[in-house]
Amino acid sequence: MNPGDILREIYRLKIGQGFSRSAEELEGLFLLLVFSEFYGLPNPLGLYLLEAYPLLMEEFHRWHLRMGMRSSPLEWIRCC
Amino acid sequence: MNALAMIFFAFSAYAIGYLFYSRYLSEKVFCLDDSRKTPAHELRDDVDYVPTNRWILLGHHFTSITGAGPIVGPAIAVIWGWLPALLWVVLGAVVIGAVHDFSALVTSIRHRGRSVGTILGDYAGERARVLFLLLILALAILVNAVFAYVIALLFTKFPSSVIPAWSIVPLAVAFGYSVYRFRVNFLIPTLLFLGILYLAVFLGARYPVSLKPLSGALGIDPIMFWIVVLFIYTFFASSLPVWLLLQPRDFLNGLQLLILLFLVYAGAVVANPEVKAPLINLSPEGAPPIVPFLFITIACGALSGFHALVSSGTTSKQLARESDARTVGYLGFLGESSLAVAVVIACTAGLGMVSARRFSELYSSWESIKVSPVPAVVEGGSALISSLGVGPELAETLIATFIVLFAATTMDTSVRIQRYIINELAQIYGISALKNPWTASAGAVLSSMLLVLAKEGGRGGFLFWPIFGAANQLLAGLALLVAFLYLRREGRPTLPVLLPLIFVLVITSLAMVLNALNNFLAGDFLLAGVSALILILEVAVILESIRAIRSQVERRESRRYT
Repeated sequence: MNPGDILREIYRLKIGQGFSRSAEELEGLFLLLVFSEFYGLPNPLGLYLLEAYPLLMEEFHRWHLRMGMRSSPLEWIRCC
Repeated sequence: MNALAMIFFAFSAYAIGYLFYSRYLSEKVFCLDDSRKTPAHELRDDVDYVPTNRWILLGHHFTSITGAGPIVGPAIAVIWGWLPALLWVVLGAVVIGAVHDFSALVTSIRHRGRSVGTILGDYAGERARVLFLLLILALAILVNAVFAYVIALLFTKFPSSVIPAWSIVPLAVAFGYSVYRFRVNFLIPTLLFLGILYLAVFLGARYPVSLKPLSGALGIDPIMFWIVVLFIYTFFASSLPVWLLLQPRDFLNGLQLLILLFLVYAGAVVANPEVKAPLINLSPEGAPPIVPFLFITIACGALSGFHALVSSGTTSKQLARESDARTVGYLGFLGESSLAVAVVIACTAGLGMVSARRFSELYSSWESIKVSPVPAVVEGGSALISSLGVGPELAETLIATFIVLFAATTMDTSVRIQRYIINELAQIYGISALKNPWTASAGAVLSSMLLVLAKEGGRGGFLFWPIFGAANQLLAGLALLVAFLYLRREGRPTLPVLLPLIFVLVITSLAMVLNALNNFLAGDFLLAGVSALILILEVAVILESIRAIRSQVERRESRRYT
């Protein structure tokens, strides 16, 4: 390992947690916006977002695991 | 006696402690076993739980536990002579402090990486956990009160440190942003930002920022002015996301710490000054008795309960193998202790380089040193660094800036911890007004500010230093109790943690009784009241410990007969 890698690792230890936490929060908010129609919130962009669903599969899967749900809460998304 | 002999003594003791005592602890007491999965592997999520190389983890752990604490304590305590301070810092670290950090770390990895507070809740009940939270809260308030005063004093006495100390704020944000944005070799931005910081030190030495004219015109004390500014700053800084300011700054500070240690030790080796301070002075003018006050004046550097929060909070979730605990927990603490030794050398041998009588001038009485110990470190430390060929003014600015940076990071962290605890207590007792982060931050800052301003001239801070030491060690007592209960349950030897536990409880109770009594007799009811409060927490801790040990014994007895 060169000094740069060692410094990067130590920095990751210090910063990583806070960084991933706030990234997760943002991701959660984004998913809530995208899937808002399924929670009963009207979303004028709903129709246009249909195309984004397949791209968000992975993120959705991580989100429901993080929220403590073992399998997908939406029956039409079978990510696992 | 000269500085080299002190260094030789300290590092031989560390080597013996690490090679033999920590091996005994890990093989015979905690029975570390690499075939067991650590929480980092078992619960791996790549956020909190990440298996990490032990040397990298050591770097992270060491720079997280070491702050301004080991600078202030030894600087006051050398008034009793250099020998007692050196002995307590070195031997206390080897048999008590490092054992505490190590056992908190191991106990945590054996409990799925949970923190000491929650493990305590399991063993001794919810009441003990609330007690733990209250102790941390008291500790955090005292830390803010002390360090706000330290920084304000340094800004006033060494105005050259103002520019470099504030320049770290935009630098840290820019550093965090640039390493995230531009994925270049990490070494380049690190060196670049350190370079800019040292340029700021150079500029600061050229253009000192003195508030004398302003304060003269407005009629306010410059120390008070800085204290208010600092609290306003921490209120905002502690409410920002951690990765934006606190953690990049923590990273840059960690490197400063290594640089400072290197410079001071190199200066001490090159100059090898004679110690021009008394070997031992049992009755300095106006000072309280050496036992128990030496042991609570130097808390960080010899034993610090705050470390249990780091050991069991984040480090335990990243340990790749059980045997790494020896390197990270034990050796990490010895690193902090070596900073305390550097301060002892600076205040005794370093001050001797300024002039033969400098020590006796600065340490003429307890009253004078207890309100401003840090300038002694700056003077002594810069004398040591000057022997490496750095100009005296630049050396002074450098050391003053280092100390301000450590103190400021400690303050930020402690306001943040205070905010979390106020939030948690508000949850437990259902006080909705304090559940909001902003009101909790305001509560945290205001309570600390009241404490500082309670004494004329903002001197609240240092008067509370002995109480801070006691609270810190009491917290260490709770972490040792958790380790003791765990070892007892497993049927392992408990003496290595039981003896420090008893020592800590006896010393802190004695000190707090004396402190409360003295202040009460002197008519200082605020100090007497705070000491009494810590004493009450202390009694509660002892009662809870006895109850927890008893119920454990009963459980074992009932198991035996059924």
